[in-house]
Amino acid sequence: MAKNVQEINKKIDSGEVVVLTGEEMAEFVKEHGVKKAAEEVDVVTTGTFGSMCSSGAFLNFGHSDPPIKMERLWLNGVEAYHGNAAVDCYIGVTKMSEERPFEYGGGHVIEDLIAGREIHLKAEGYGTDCYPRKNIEMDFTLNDLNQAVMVNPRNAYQTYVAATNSTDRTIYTYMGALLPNYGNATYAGTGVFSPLNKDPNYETIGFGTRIFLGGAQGYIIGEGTQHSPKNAFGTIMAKGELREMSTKYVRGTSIAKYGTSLAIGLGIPIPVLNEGVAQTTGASDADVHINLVDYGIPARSRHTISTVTYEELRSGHIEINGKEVKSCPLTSLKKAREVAGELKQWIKKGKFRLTEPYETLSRERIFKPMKEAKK
Amino acid sequence: MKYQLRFRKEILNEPVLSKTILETKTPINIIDAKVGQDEGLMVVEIKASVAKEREVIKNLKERGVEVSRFRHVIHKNEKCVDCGYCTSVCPVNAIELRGDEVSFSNEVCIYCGQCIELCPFKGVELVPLE
Repeated sequence: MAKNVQEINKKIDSGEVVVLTGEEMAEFVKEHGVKKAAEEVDVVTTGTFGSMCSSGAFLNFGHSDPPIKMERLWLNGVEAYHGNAAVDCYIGVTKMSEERPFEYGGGHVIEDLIAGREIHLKAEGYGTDCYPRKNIEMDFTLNDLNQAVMVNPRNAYQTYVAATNSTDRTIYTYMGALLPNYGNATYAGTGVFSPLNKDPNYETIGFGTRIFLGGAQGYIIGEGTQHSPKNAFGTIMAKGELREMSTKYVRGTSIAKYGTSLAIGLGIPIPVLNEGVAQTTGASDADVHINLVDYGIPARSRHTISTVTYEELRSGHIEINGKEVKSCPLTSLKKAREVAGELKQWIKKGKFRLTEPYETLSRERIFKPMKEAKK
Repeated sequence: MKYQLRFRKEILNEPVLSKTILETKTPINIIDAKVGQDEGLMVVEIKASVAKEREVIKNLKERGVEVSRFRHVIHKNEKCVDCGYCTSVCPVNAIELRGDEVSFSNEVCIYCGQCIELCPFKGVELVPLE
């Protein structure tokens, strides 16, 4: 019997909704089967917590007197993008501080904003008759702003990869420091808690889906950049209010010799509408396969050595060419579990109602490489 | 046991550690060494009987080295998110994931500092033991 989101929301309002986290659903399906899961479970919550580089926030400062049209601006020494109206800007998480590159960046500015810490603004303008002021410097906190909206062009990769290094020197990548000669392997993603991968046909996920974002209730506003449904590399674009977020789930990160980013706790609630969704949300770590990729060769298409499951990766060791190699996560399983758990509690307590997307994510999008001029 | 050794400027040019090792016939593992303009600092580990350790310390002190117990601990602070990335860069497997939490072993740690430097959240610290 198929369910719909309205029925599930009625059960949320009456307190009768049955919610399981991704991990609990995998156990339930294993023990009781897909049919029973589809009948009895209403919502499966998912979660992840890792660096998501394509993230940032739109901020509006309000006008000074006399007013300034900002041409360039810096927040705690990190340049924010100005290309819109006078006092609108976008702070991107990978932009690094000019004075403390790699240590402090846009992601840290966003964390500091959410924490209520003071941020130093420096802005310059070329001056116009209607915006005569050319310079401004001041300290402000989140409460002094008008809108402070996190808008992330790409979050929550459906699946990702495990990375290793075949060369004879350590390389420093966004997958961490990869030691020479397959000295280690790192992996991103959460397997059994994976948001998009628990609904890989995007039956329930799309524009307007309400989600857990950084401790707030946020929304999916579209497919993310580089969305690639054909090989399970789907992505979402997400938005949420900075004022409603928490530094428990939003943290600036410094990735050695790579740059800065922002780790975000993100979770998508999946309504178990039919047996198909019951099956996909019941996937366990052993069911999720990802590619083990050699990051040693710095090319766009990296060599895939083998495929591994999250169960194998979580055991702490995987085999590469006959050698036992330590496998280490980049995504925090503990935080992913907390995200899925908190989202579950919100739903059970009636604080979070599900939304039905206006349009589900595209299953047809092709992710193209950059067009390059001949070398 | 781990010790911190301080070498005055005057003895920086002498193979003090080698002489102590040869005389006491006790291996000393050098964990960290920094030689500066005014002094040299080392963190060493001596794995021997209590009597032998005492002999080594006495020998070092007679050569003008200041010896003190290395009383620092490596641990995760409140910024740690238990992602587990540090486990990938530890050369001696002193960090492990127990369930979904990261745990440090001071017994095994050689204080190379890689985890401190590479943690994206600045969640690892070396602090003096109170």
